Amino acid sequence: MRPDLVRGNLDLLLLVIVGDGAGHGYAIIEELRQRSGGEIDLPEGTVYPALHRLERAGLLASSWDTSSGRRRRSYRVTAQGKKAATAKRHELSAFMNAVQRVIEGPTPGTVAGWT
Amino acid sequence: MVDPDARPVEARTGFIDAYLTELAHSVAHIDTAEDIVDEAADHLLFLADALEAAGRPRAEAETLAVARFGSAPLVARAHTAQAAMGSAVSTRSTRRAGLVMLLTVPVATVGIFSNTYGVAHSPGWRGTVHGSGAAFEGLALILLLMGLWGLRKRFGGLGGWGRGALILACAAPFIAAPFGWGAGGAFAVVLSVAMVLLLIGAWMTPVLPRTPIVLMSFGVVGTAAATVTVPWDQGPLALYLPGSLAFALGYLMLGWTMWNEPALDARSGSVPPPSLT
Repeated sequence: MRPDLVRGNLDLLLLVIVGDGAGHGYAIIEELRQRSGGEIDLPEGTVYPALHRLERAGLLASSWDTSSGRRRRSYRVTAQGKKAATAKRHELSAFMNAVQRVIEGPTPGTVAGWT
Repeated sequence: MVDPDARPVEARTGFIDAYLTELAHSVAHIDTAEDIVDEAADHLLFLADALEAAGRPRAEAETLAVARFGSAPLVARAHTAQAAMGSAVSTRSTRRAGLVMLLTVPVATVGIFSNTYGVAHSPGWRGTVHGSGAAFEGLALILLLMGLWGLRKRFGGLGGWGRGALILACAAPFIAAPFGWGAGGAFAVVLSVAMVLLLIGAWMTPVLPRTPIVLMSFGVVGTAAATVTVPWDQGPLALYLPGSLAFALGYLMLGWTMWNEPALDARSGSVPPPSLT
């Protein structure tokens, strides 16, 4: 899939996946790959910067713990993040509907000069 | 997938360690470099352990994990670009609010000190000291409101509680006005209630540090309790000290946190996003 298509909607995808329970970075990225049927397969290290930006925006929160002797970070969605995800979902849905209508072409009689 | 945490960690080949060293150099200019490297280390070792547990040789598992993660320069560019894309709010402006929060406490201290100790010990300059003290207290109040506005803006409005606090704080002068000479006290009471609402909103925002919120809450409750117990003009100043100090300390901690954030504009995009291919 084209990277710019993914990049434009990555915030929504991450908010939804983290909101559904995937908390550890690796689990989030794996879930993204599996749910998309392998279509969304980003270099894994490039997803973390987006997670950090969402955290700076207050849409995600994170905490560190120690597992197997390593520091491990887990993410969760904030209340503000849930609202943002809902808004982005509606926005994307409206956009996809609009694109679909454009692709399907005008209905006869709805365009001036159409005969 | 096999849980790699459930089995002993095998000896590393050093490939991931070498990658992490390169990544550490590549992201050294970013404030959170240590966290970035730690998070990458956890990801890579988790994946390599899982691949090894699934039957891959260790060297191949580490190579594959690094290949899937992306080269160190690519990951570093992604971090730099995402930082430049900024956040939902301009931390350039909320950093200034943090600075205002840091200034509030010394300004308020000068005002309160002038109006209590200064007036009593400078009979010849009573009017001047009282006037300047009142001016400093008024300035501190303005700085306090500006700081709290920035705090609310930085953390997405702090939900319905934050909105309620803002409305109440704006309405406070109008609510207090009918009380005549008691307007100052009424204003303080309404503002304290607004502060409680704001602190509840702050508590429910997981991204905010807990310690300053607890200190500020103790400060508001402690000062209110002292005021209710002994009228403000009859009790010793020390009665208000624990609450005031706790509030000031928590407030300074939040100000310091906001002031130390990297300055990012909400719509800044000077660095192009990296290619994800």
